[in-house]
Amino acid sequence: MATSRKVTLLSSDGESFEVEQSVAVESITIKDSIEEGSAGNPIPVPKVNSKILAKVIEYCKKHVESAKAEDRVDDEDLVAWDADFVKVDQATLFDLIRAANFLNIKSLLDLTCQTVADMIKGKTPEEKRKTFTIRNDFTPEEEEEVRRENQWAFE
Amino acid sequence: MHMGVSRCFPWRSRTSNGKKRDGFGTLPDNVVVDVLSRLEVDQLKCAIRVCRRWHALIATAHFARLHLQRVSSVTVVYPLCFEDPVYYNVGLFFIDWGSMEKKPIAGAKSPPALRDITVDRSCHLLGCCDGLFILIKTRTASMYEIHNPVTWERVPVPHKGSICGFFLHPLSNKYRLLSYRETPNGFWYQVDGLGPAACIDVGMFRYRPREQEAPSGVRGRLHWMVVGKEGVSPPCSHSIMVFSARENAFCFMPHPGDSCLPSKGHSNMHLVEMQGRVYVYAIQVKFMSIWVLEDHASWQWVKKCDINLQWNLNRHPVHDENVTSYENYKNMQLIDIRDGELLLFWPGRGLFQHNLQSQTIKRVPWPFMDGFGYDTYRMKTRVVMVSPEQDFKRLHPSGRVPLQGGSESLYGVYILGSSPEKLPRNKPGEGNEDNPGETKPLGVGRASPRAQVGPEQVLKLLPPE
Repeated sequence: MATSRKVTLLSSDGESFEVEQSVAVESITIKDSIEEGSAGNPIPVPKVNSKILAKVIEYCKKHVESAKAEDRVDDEDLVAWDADFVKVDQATLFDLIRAANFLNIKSLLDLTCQTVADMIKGKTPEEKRKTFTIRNDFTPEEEEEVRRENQWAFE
Repeated sequence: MHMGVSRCFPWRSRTSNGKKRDGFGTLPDNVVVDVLSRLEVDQLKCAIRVCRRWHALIATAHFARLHLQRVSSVTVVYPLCFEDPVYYNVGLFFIDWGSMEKKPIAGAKSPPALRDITVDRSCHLLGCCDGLFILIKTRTASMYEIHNPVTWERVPVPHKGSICGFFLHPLSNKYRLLSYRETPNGFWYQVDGLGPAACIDVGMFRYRPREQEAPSGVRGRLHWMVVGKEGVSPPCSHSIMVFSARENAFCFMPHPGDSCLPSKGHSNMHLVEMQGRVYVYAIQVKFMSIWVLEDHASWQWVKKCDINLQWNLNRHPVHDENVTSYENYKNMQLIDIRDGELLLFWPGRGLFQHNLQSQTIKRVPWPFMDGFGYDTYRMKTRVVMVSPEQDFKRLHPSGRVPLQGGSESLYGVYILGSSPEKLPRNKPGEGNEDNPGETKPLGVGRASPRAQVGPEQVLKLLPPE
């Protein structure tokens, strides 16, 4: 069943990556464009630079390989691998999210979104803002209003 | 990639001053919603105040719906002791299965987290519906309370009978109480709302629920094992009573398994509604048999498993000398079934998880029983499972106004402090008693799997019956 058909992906900064088609089609976006015949060769992947594309390919490769494995003992190993995979700096993590979203790779999007969600831990809004350098753009009146809206829900 | 920031992100009315870019700013709305919908409710309360964008994304019906689909459910374990009146009840413990499910990224399966919350000590827990508890005050006759464990609000619900059901009516989408009163000829049943709405009579029947509990039903039907007057057991063919909320009618059905000896009755048989299904379990000598109701219409039960209870008793010593050997298994209780694991309460020994596949048991560390109060709980300690199918942290819509007298505003609808423009308003005259006609924001997204009601139907909740 495994044909060794390869495709070439071209990152936004002009780097080429040759991968097995079975790996490339982990991305529904790429899969669709191949099936429609509109892919071209190499397949351009705008919005995703080489650094991120390399990581995405690494992820897809690992997951395709694990799915092929005869016994599913790898489940826990895969989960551990995933945990390591997302141990990156915030900027890279967000880049990965955008890439996974654009390329439509559900499992990677799930993984990265969950990672970010787990990072949103601070007890106060200010702590949350700090973690992600989010600017507080409420006016003082708005902020008071929102606080009051939720007042009954405070412990 | 960002063409016209001001067009894409209208909440940014001021220009950003080009400092370190916040990662979230680069993500499209659907992704930010994906991330935020994974937060627990208490995190969301905080997240909604972070910035305008987060507020705008969270305070929507769509978000509420999405979030409700993701929340984990919780099993509440409630020890109750009849023997010693001083210890009427203690805190409720809940097992947060979500803490297990939510950790796949870390790669380690943590044991179910056991946390406790406390309730008023003079009440004891009858049942739970959508995360709202119904409590009975033990010292006062016929005094019930509905308790919201998140906001700590309690609504007294004075009642003349014994409440045996607390459920969400599938048609009107309002909470209802089913109760009965003993009369010389039998038991008279009626259905009431929480407020002063008129009650609906159901009728007179020979039997009443055997246990003191108020189930919330499965798909609009409540089930109990029953007894007759003076605790007389009904025949096997009439051992289970089913109340259909839609039809406002009872029917009596046989229990699964073989018929019982007339002398014994079905005292070793128990019925529980869990995880949206109805189970019956029976303990015979050293086996526990469990059946599940597969098809209600045909009343078809399927045997789920037979558990051999002959576990190594030495590994699980009894903490209470009053437990004699022949009663070793007799009062074992099935609390929950989940993912191929059973949660069992073994009186005198503790709480256990039994894995159906490997047939092994594991003790669930239960701080309450392991430590101090253990030996004050004697044989009669009974652990009752009430399982809200959703995250028990339900937020109350009219939380700003203290609830009084069981007003009908107790919808238990999930809310996130959304602004009134986003969601439908109350019709005038439907506000609570203190402020008639005040518009209150109501959240939607009340997906109660039991009642099979979607968020869209909640919008129709507003007009009076």
